[in-house]
Amino acid sequence: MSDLSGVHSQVFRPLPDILRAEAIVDRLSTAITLGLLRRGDQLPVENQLTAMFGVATATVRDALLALRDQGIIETRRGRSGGTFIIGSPRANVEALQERLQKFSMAELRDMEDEHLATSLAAAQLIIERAFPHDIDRLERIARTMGDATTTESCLRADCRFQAELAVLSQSERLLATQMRLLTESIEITWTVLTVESDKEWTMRDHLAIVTALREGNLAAAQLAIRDHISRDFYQLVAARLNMLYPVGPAHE
Amino acid sequence: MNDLRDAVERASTSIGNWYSEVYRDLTVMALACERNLRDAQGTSGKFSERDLRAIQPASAAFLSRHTIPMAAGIVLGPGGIDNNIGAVEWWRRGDAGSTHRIVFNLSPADPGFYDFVTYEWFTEVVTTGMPAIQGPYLDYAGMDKYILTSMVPLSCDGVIIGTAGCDTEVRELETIIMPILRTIPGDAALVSKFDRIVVGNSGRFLVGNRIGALLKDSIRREIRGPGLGLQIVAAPRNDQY
Repeated sequence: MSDLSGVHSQVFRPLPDILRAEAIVDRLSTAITLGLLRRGDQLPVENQLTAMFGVATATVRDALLALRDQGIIETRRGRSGGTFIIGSPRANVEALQERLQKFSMAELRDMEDEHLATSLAAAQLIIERAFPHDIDRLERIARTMGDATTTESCLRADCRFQAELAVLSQSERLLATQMRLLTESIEITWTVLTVESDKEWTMRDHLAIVTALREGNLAAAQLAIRDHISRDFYQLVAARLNMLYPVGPAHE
Repeated sequence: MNDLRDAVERASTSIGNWYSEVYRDLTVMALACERNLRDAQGTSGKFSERDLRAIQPASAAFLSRHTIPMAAGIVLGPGGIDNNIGAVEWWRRGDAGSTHRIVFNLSPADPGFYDFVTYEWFTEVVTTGMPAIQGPYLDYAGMDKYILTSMVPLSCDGVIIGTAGCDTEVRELETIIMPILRTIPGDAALVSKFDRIVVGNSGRFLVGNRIGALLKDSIRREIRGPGLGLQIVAAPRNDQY
């Protein structure tokens, strides 16, 4: 990237405010969907948001207005005032499918690689560091998927389980990486997976990982993680190819 | 099984035709570069860095004819130029028909050193005098992308002095190859001569993976054309999940 003229200057041109406001709306919506922000949580005040996102005040205002219109946040006046999360965003399946189509095969495989790297490393650290009660906790989280009746609740249970793998590794950096990966992929994954056909095997896979971790069997844990992640991405690839190239093996 | 075999046959012809055109035009580009260089050359007998700029129109012509590759140019071995380290004269497609020269770091002491003489696309082509393709690979310190590099020999007065060719991003190549592979009624992949997957038509064959041990009812078919060692591997569909 030594050449910052021409085509590269196009890449690094300033983002228009409208795109930044959308990016803020997306970031906050995804955080709520993933449970990083919860109903009742208070958002930082406007000038803090401005500084944190590194954008103009007007951009933050546009983003908050859009979130308010969607019934996701509410601003209260007075001594206990502030901006609070009051609702959850509706999954925009169409936009998510469009995002899936834009990934090339190489990019999807690369994302799978990073998921693998993160979760396999987490498994190794869990075996070195976790106590039996940590594994109990992971198992309880894995079993919450059993109660899920909607695709959204499956998504949340799946996300919680994968986050907990990083949590139990005791590594803040692994958790940050895991959350970035989940932010990027888990909503897309659950536009492809459904509660009817995919909840059972997802929970079974998660419990297989728990069992291997409990036994301290690193090889088995890593194999179970590999199987699970491969299965997720196999479905993503199939869904993308069927949307983009609706002929061939998938349509037989 | 016969349907599968026929479809693989047709797909290998289509892919072979596409590669034949690319390599034919790379050869045209190499010949144009040779003329440009000879015209630019002074009396010293060796080229200088400045002489190499003369090949820009040849690179640009190739890139306007072929929209899938991202960059094209020539690479001169250390013996072909007066700096004794060789040269990479590489042009990347920009907006609206423009091209931009990519600067490579050829100083061995720098961490970003681009040691091109260690790449297969260089050594193989200058030693055999035959066209070659390398990849997919991550071109660190070069284009810094996940690419395939296609090369043909570059000669001057009958002596091979380097290579001429192009880089293609895997994601762009996919847009040409995938529709062809999707006509095959089974799991199918285009693989390199080392059996590394370039494009696969299902989640079973992901780019970058090695094809590995295959079932005995799988089919292999060499891609005819420039002789790059590319093959199609196909097997009856096996939905793993």
